Amino acid sequence: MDILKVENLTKTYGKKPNEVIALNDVSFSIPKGQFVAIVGASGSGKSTLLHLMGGVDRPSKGKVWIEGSDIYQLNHDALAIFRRRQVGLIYQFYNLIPILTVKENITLPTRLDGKKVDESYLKELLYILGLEDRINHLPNELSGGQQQRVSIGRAMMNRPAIILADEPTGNLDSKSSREIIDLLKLSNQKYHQTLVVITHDENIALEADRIITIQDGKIVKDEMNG
Amino acid sequence: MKMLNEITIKNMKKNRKRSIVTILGISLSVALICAVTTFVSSFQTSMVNRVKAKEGDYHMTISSVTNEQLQYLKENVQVEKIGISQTIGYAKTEELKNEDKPYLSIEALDEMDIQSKGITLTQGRLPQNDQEIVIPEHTLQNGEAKWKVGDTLTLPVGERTIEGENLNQHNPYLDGKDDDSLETFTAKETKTYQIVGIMERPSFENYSAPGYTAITKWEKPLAGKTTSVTLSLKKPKEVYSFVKDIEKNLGILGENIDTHDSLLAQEGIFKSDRTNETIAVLALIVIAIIIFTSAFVIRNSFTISLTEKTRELGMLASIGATAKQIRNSILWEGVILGVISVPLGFFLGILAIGIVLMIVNSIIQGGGTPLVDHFDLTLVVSWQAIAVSAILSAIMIFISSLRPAIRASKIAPIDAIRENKDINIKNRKKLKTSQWLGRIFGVEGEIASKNFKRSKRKYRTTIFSIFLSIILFISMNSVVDNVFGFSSLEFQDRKYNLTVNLYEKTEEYAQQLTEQAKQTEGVKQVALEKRKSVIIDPSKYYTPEAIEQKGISLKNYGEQSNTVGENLQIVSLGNDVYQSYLKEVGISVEEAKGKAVLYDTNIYYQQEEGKDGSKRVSYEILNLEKGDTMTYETTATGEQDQAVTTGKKEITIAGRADKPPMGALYSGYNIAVLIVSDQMMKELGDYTLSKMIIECDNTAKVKEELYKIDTGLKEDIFDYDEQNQSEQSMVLIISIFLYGFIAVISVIGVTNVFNTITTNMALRNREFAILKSIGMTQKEFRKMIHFESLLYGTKALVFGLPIGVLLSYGIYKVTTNIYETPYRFPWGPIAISIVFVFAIIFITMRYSMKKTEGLNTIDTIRQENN
Repeated sequence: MDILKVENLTKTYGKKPNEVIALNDVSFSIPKGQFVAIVGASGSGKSTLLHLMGGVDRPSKGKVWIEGSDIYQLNHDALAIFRRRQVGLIYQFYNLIPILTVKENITLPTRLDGKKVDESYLKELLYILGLEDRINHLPNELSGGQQQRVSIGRAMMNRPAIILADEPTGNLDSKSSREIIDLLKLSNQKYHQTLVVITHDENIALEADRIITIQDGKIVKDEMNG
Repeated sequence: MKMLNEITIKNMKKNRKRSIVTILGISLSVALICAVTTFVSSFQTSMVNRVKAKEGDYHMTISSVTNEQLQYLKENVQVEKIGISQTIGYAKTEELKNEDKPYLSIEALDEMDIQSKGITLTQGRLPQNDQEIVIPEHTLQNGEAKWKVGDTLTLPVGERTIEGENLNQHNPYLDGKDDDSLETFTAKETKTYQIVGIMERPSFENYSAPGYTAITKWEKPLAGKTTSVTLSLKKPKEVYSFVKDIEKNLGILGENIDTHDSLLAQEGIFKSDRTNETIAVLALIVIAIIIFTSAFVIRNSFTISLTEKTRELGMLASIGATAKQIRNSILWEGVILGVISVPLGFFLGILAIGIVLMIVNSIIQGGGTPLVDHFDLTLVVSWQAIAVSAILSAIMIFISSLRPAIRASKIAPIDAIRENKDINIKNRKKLKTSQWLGRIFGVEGEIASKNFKRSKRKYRTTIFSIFLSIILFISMNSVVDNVFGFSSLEFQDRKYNLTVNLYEKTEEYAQQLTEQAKQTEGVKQVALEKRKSVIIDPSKYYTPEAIEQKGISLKNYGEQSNTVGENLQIVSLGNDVYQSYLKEVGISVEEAKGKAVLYDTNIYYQQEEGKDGSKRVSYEILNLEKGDTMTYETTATGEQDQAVTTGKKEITIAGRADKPPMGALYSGYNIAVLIVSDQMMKELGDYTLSKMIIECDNTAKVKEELYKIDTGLKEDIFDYDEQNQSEQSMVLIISIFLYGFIAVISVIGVTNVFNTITTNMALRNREFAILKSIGMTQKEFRKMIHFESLLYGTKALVFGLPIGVLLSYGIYKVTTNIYETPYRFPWGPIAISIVFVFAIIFITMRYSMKKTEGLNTIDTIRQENN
């Protein structure tokens, strides 16, 4: 079953004649549990694609289905609610809320949803992320790798249908990068989590089940790995 | 060095938002000082001009001046200008029909004197020689003379005497009617004058003066005529010491010197040192508050962007800029900011006042006849104040801009770059936020309160600016309330503005008139006052204060004595007014039934040594309380015009009232009053109709209606509005000034809060975008922001209100030096503060929220990363 389907997705910036086409009529689908890497040069449109898939940006044309719903048919608030339940976003710069502690940051999507925090799952998550003894720290008291792990925890907390990561290791050293990738793979394998990762790093791409290559806003290559 | 300066300018251009906010902040503070000083100086100048136009432009007049004295005064270096006048004498003429004012009082004035005395022509021109004359317009009005410009008058001129004593304009006409004293007029010469102009009634002619002032030109000294001078000093401050000097050196009698106190007071010079000191202290407090506020406004505008600035400086340090280089680049930035924002601030401040004055002028001059005569507000900019505020702002900019440099130099460059300082929890316990907040307000409330607790630095600025605005508002209101005291009890309490005497009128007639008055448009309340005068024994019922104040000797009272006693009034006012009065004083109809409400507060003003104003003292006349019963005696006029007791009765007190009933004079009745219902008055019997008391919008209109019923009422009507016009225009001027002042301060306070909040919100755009990207809905976001607003406002109020009240009490303490009035707790300003603080915060937050909502989530997150 396809958990995510992208159809004729186009995103343009500016107006003619200075129009910039960031994404040009892209279509593909991702089945549940797949680990997809999107690669491409800077400015190729891969981040735009990811943000459109996550519902944080709006397409100029085309549709995105997640778990069978056309997310851009939803209104503003419904989309926000959809996002916190079904999409986990991980950014290059972590983007944690600076005034909230590790635990508070991770549980934020659940709390926003008005649901009770599943304490045993949280405990498990903190253990996997190696953050058990950091739960009451604020983001600026953590290293980059630790901060990124918090943002992974936040992305996974609501057990979303799909996790989208935008160059999650782009800001980290190779050791931390390795840890992050291992974590993401673990979530993919252990929880059967669908995972889309944008990366520059060939090593990471090679770990994925499938590699989509983007160039000038178009998919130029879409191949299964191994 | 040059390189760094270039970077600074580029940085300022790049961070346009931040630069604009900083510039705006500085401008606001400069505008505050500039606006306040301009407003005060404009107002003062207008008041001075008003007094000059109305009462003349001179510091003192000296009468009966000898030639030697005149010479001395003319040569005195302290004297700026001197005007000379001589009294020609009185002229009697049949043309003048006014019984109390049968003369022309002819004065010869030199050019300077005409100018100083503020002679305002309504027709023609000023006299150019001693053959020409200007007459006042009231000769034609209440004098009913038929003169016009161009007429020639030939008049017998002489003096008024009584028993050989010369009389002047200060002695009213003695016509021999009242007490057999009749003055004589002796003509000494015949003079011929041509009327060349008609003028407004000169202000120096008092109302009881027997002669209409006519003015001719003074050309040369005239022998045998009294000479007077009007003079102004170069330094008005020296007036009172100058008076002492000439009294001593020239032997001029003190009674012949009349200082122009009202003009001097407007120029800020008072007789008493104590008043001078009080005003100085007060001005100091006001200036201190304003300077403190504006200093913080400048600091605020820097603090908001402190984090970013620190990051930038850390960056510079990390690539090898020395501390000195950084400091210089900051100074450079300060110079640029100052050069742009200080003039902008002046412009904004003066513009704001210009607009305020324009509005005020249009209100005053609005409906044909000006609300306040001779009052034209012109913009006067005090350049000294502007210079001071420029220097002050420069210093503040310097200090404020150095702060990030000091901060950046203290921390490692990399920490500065990473902005690690802003969220700094020293004590881990502080991490705990209360659970119930989250439970009540949901996770949004929790985030808001955590933000509030953990990111104190950013919030402190906002709260401080709200806090300052509250303090400013409450304390300035106190200045208004206590210093000028115009809203004192006297003006507030007299609600009625028209009374009609009804003695000797029938009850039917009075009823009919009352009904008619009630139906007239613009009439709010009509009371028909009935009175019954009775006698009580002061030894039984008077308080010790009343006995002392009224100078009653108790020896004359008691059972054995024949003396009747002290007067007491029983009053009824008609059903409507009675009912609303009961409500006002908090006594129920049932409680009052068959009983009387007592009002006996007596107020007097005690002059105190060494103070300009007087102390307001109030005391109660009767020693009765609720439920007490009092015996009174009714009287009738006996054979020898003496009061004779006709019987004794008892009356019970339903309660004490703290407000006088309608119709009481502002200081009360001066005697005790019992207020009863119409019904009860009927039962008591033997009352007299006293008057009809009307509260209305437009007395002229009501009078017109009443005259339609009975033209004979003209003599019985008393119009308080007409009577108090000058008093009221003064109150109006003062209230315009004070409310204008408060308005300016409030506007600046509000702008400051607005500026601070919007900036703070704009700087948090990224944080908001992240929250949205992880799925916070618009509604939840709004809830969070509203909750934050609530926290902001509450905190600012919790600190601001008590300190504001404290300051207001301090100001009150200072001012009691002049006027002793009871302290009035600033309930009104507090209520206004609370409402406004929340309103402004919510509106501002909403406004900045709208701006955030329009932004593309992902763009915002990315922009701020790079």
